[in-house]
Amino acid sequence: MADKKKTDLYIQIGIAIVLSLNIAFWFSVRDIEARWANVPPAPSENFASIYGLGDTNLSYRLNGIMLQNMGDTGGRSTSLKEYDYNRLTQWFFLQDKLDKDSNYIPYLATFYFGAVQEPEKFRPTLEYLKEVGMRPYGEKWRWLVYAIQIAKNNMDDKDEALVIANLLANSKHPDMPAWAKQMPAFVMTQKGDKEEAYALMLEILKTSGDKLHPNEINSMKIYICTQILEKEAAASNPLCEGIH
Amino acid sequence: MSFPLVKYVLIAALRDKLILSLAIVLLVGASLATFLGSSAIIEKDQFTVVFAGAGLRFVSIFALILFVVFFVRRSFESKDIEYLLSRPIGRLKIIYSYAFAFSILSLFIGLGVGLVVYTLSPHLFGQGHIIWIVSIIIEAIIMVNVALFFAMYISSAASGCMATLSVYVLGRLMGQLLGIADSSLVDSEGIYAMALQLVSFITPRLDLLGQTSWLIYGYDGSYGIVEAVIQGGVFSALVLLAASLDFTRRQF
Repeated sequence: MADKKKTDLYIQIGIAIVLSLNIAFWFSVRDIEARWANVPPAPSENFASIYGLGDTNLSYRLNGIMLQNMGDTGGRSTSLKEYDYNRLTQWFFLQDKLDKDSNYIPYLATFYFGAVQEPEKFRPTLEYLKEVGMRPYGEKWRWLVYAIQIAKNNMDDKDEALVIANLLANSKHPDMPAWAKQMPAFVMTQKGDKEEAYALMLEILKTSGDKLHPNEINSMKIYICTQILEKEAAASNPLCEGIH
Repeated sequence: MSFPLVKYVLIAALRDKLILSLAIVLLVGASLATFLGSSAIIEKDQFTVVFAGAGLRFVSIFALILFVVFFVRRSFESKDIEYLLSRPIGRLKIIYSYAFAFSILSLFIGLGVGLVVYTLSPHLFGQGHIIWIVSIIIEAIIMVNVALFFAMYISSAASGCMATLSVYVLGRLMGQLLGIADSSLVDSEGIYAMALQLVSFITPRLDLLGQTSWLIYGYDGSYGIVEAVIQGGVFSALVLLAASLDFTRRQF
């Protein structure tokens, strides 16, 4: 009986000591929190498929959610300018290999990561948008349009915007509207290359005018006469008759 | 084939609450998939369908493996097998009746998973859904046969489950592992790559079955589903024959 009491006392003392050690340990680690080590390097396509146990679309969706929430977990929020956009773009290209049809990653790249406070950081991602935007299906051309907007407005790089606009104009998207083909002219106008913009618009009117809706032709004429041409030039141009 | 024995196994599945617990898991899994899918900024339905399809498929395979292994081991331990052998039923009949009953369970569970996935996004339903459901049923049938084989050979239920799950994971990853072996990342004629090739001879290519991309974009024909089904059938025959060999030689 006395032995049993003794054993019980020892156990209680042991519990008290271990509990105290636990609390002491808690004080030593309390201020250590999970840190975000920025965007990890993207794995290879074969390795990434393993995440979904051989189901590539499951890997794509799991990675997608991970990319969407990356840097903003565990009560932390990370400014976009702190992201490593080179690595991020590697992830975008990897995701592109896992699912070429989805618009989720191009959307995330454009509308979320495109809002970075230091727009120059976005430059590697433009290459990704160029590749996705050249696909001739699923209205993918619009990613080129957004890439032009980001290059022109956010990055203030009109030369790059013109390069992408030319890619867009020369792409083979079957259902792309005519205004997308006119994108180089819009960029040239903003760049100040008004003669080139005028020549391009005129060329589109000559070669595709019969396929365009009359409203679209009128809009093009208005753009030429009010945005590209100076007032005097517009007044003497027969194309601008009736347009003020 | 002994139909009373098939019925006995199916009743055991009901008695073990396999169907009831799976129904609950399907409900919880579907809710979780909807919750996760809704956190995506666009393509919420596609995310939900992929998470539900993949998650519920894995859970149902896991449940089937657990049921088959524990049921067979319990049959041995409770002397059910010895009782059956005392009846005018051949040993092979027992094996094939078990395999048939487990395949019926796989069929029902596969259809249940398919129904849940359809319910989550009926507007995405198409030919791809049907092929996906058929392929996950085939996958489940292959896996219950593998589970039956290991349950016959290995006397520990836990080890049997782990062995079956290892085959499942290996089968699902084999396409990627062979891709890595063939890539420039490793020496394709090195010992590890050769060992992998050797293992792949007798591993079903489960990665060719049940791709969730079919639920969204439809079946694109790029996967060798017919080859995977034929290989799965041959593999099932192999493990069933191996299980039969062990069972017919066993002394009770």
